[in-house]
Amino acid sequence: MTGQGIKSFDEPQFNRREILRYAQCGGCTDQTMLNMMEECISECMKFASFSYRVSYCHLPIISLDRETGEIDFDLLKVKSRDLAGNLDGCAEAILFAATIGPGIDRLIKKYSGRAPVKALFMQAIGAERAESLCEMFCSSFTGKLRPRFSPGFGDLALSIQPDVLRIVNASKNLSITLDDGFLMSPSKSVTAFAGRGDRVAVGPWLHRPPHPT
Amino acid sequence: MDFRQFLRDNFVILDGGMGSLLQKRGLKPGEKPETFNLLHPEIVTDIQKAYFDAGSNVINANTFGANPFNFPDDEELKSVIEAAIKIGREAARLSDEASEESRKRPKFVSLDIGSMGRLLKPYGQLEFEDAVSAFAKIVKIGAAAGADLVTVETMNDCLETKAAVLAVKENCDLPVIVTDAFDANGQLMTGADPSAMTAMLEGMGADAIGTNCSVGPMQLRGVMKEFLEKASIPVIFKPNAGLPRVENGETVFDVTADEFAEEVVMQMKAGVRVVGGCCGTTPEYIKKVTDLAKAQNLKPVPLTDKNLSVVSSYTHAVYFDKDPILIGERINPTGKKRFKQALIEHDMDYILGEGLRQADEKVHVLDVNVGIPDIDEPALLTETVKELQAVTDLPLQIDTSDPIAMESALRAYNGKAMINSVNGKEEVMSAIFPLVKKYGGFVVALTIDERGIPETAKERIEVAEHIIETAESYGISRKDLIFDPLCMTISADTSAAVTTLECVRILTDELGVHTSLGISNVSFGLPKRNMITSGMFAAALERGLSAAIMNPFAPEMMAAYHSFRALHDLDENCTDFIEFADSYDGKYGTVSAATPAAGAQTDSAKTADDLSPLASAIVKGLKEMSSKITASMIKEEGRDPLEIVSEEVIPALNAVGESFEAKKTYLPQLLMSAEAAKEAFVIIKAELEKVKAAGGGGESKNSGCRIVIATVKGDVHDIGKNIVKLLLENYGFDVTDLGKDVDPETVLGEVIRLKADICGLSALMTTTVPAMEDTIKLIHEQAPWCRVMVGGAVLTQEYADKIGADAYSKDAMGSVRYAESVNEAKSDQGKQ
Repeated sequence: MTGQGIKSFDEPQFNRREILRYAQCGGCTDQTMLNMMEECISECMKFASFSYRVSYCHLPIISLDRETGEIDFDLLKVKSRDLAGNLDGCAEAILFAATIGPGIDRLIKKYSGRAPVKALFMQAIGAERAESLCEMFCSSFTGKLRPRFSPGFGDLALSIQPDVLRIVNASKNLSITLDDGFLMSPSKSVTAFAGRGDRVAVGPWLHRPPHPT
Repeated sequence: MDFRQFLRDNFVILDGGMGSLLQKRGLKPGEKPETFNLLHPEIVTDIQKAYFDAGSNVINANTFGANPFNFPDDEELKSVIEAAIKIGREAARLSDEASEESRKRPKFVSLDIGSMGRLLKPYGQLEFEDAVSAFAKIVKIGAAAGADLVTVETMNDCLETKAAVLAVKENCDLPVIVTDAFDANGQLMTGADPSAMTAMLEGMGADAIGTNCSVGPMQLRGVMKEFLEKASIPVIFKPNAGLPRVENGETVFDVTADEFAEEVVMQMKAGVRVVGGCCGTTPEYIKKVTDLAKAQNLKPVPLTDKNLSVVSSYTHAVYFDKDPILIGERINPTGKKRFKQALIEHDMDYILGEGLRQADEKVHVLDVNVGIPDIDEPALLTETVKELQAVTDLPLQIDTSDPIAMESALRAYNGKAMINSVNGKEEVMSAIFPLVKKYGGFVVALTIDERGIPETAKERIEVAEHIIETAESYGISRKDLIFDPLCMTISADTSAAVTTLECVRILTDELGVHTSLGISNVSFGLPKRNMITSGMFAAALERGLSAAIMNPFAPEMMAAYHSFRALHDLDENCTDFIEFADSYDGKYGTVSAATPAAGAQTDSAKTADDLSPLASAIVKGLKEMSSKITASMIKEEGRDPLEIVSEEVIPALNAVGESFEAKKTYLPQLLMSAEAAKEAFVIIKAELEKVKAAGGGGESKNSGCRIVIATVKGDVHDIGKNIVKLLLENYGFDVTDLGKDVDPETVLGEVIRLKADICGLSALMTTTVPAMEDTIKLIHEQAPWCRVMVGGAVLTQEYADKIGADAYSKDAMGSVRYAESVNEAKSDQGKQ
């Protein structure tokens, strides 16, 4: 059976080095810039209403073919050679949707026409928050997960987003919705597969094993 | 029995989780639970009967996700909802048959409405009215199928909650109970706290309100405390059995039935009237709650009117009490030429800027008035309200004399609005009060009637009393009225202020209502108006004034406000006053062009030491300084504005630009300089307009070069595009920004209309590059004179060449350089 869960996290520490990197000023020591970043962080903490939630489920990998990229997760069938390469040898994938909420979108919109520097920092803070959330989530499992792999990476089509969100119940649990181009709202949301566990029999199953059904 | 009557005198026991139980009975992740109504009705009946057997008074029909987005086929939607109500009835019948105890207990079947799963604008794409229509469809089917009440639940967004409640109110007379999914941090995902939701939902006439889902009961103690303190109607508590986690492939929850019951019963003792469970709870949880409540012989805590006067936004509530409320008056065309021009030109950036500047001054509410002749006021007012709410969380005061515009804006407003205004004229009251009743609102009531403005305080109070009486006949309490006894100018009648102040005192002390004044009228026709206005403000505050519609940029007004609060023990440790006083000189003082630009020592500032004060301010990115020095250079030194541009601004921008190109300056530093330069340009442009009007020149070198700029169809990312626009404008180019998600035809239309020399297109995602290619093709075919430059994260020179762009800019400075080259070529052609 494929269980479904939700994990909620306390606010992680702000990684200022990462924020600067996302704001295209990695390594910057200019005090004005650093002050601006702090000002934006303070405003975010006051007004962005960050939430750190992840809705997830465990998908057993029924079959995987690296050559064709066909992967059968029972609930979902995907064709992506890049994802197949990433999950190669795993027993299951954790499929998850994570969001820090939509408050940051409003702050980005507030400043995008009026104060582009602040908009840039807000964007950077949002990216860093979402990244930190994913890191916390992936670290919460016993055993190391494979690097996460999102729709839109490599040859994994964005068009699988509706299925991904449906399976992890992201609409009810996180209020993540999609637009016509499969982009998520809130914008600082992530969906991804993260491979886990070792396949007991590594080898022949990778090459078009008979479907269990 | 009628549900409302039952709710008035009893605890109401709701049901528990449905989805988690259906999953145990075969529902797969991703499968629609509502399909079980048709495919496996016996399973749904079984679960719901178990809830009735356990002690529930109300079960939610299995219609949570039965909406037109999940069930686009109307017939299927109807079948699913009708079957769900029927199943609920059958479950009640079976439970009645099963035991005497159950038969005695009143039972109700509720139409259950959950979120559409689509975020409304401005977060998502769904229009508010489309959401209302979709909810209306569900309500009509459910009401016709015989639901006893409607439950709106697990909402994450204030505006979607409003859309659902409005749909219920407009399409049936059934009671409606509403629960939102508050997180442990005490907020909805889109930011609303329980006070904000209480203000809005009580205003709209919900029968009970509260929280469900999200987390376990212990994490929601703070949320429940706030609901019980603020709500005058029954409060609902329907938490999860904690958070679900996966163990050996199974979904499990971490709060046991006993722990759950203890926590829920504790809330019932505190005053919660309606209880149940959400995800992870089962009939066992509900039985434990009913048994424990019975064992403790719990009686419902009587409801009390909290008598709060309140407005709200989509995040928070603002209460009118002893601490005065500041209402920013600047979004109003009266006496403001530039604002009128912005309305005519539909310059939303300017209008929003006025709102945000006032928000920076820490006003509590923004007045919004866009009424000028020959304008579609309902459309513009509604759009302004929506746009303002996309960028500020302040509650708004909707200010119009047009009832159609008022309704349109109130409907779209996200929260409980302040309404400006009603008065003692029967015609006005009969137009406005029904809107207040329907949408909720806190109404400014002017003490004026058919006879005009009464001269004496006594007569104005009589008008106020008549307004209170009439409002009550519409079911609107006096707590939702705030009286404006009218502030007239003392330059026409020196006793005018005395009358107004006396009215404020009587309204406060004798009628026990709140008061507000449009203070600035008092000084009309007098010199140094702020002196008199702030004096009047202080005098009115002493007599109990609750709120003022005022100019927050006037230092005298803010000084009067902060002094009053400090003197009346409303400002703990005088913190706000000290902050205000500390910033006073810097904020309201002046500088001359000779003043060296102060600021943090930065890498770029070091290189700026040898520059002039203005150039130095720009290089350092000091916006206010840049603006003040420019003004001083023009007014005090008589410098030619164009000379300032060529000798000060552009060299400073070039210095920063070159440093950026040499990777010595970072992007945000380049932008800060651009923003500082923009501030200088605001002053320079105003001066150039004057010169132009006087028949002078007033053109900068690049002003003849027109550029149309847009983010392409399907792409909603505009930060990069805005950066490019800012820099191009700094260099004097004439830029028309079409925004984001712009289709090729619209871009082409503007390029042709403006005979644009350059079109700048931006795309962030690979998926939207085809739209960029289409736009380029269209422009090259139909506007061959126009050069297309492209940029964005996914683009490279190679990619740009492949899709036929004339130029690729890797960054904002690159686009300036290209635009300059196009303009130079154009000038050279002109000379030949």
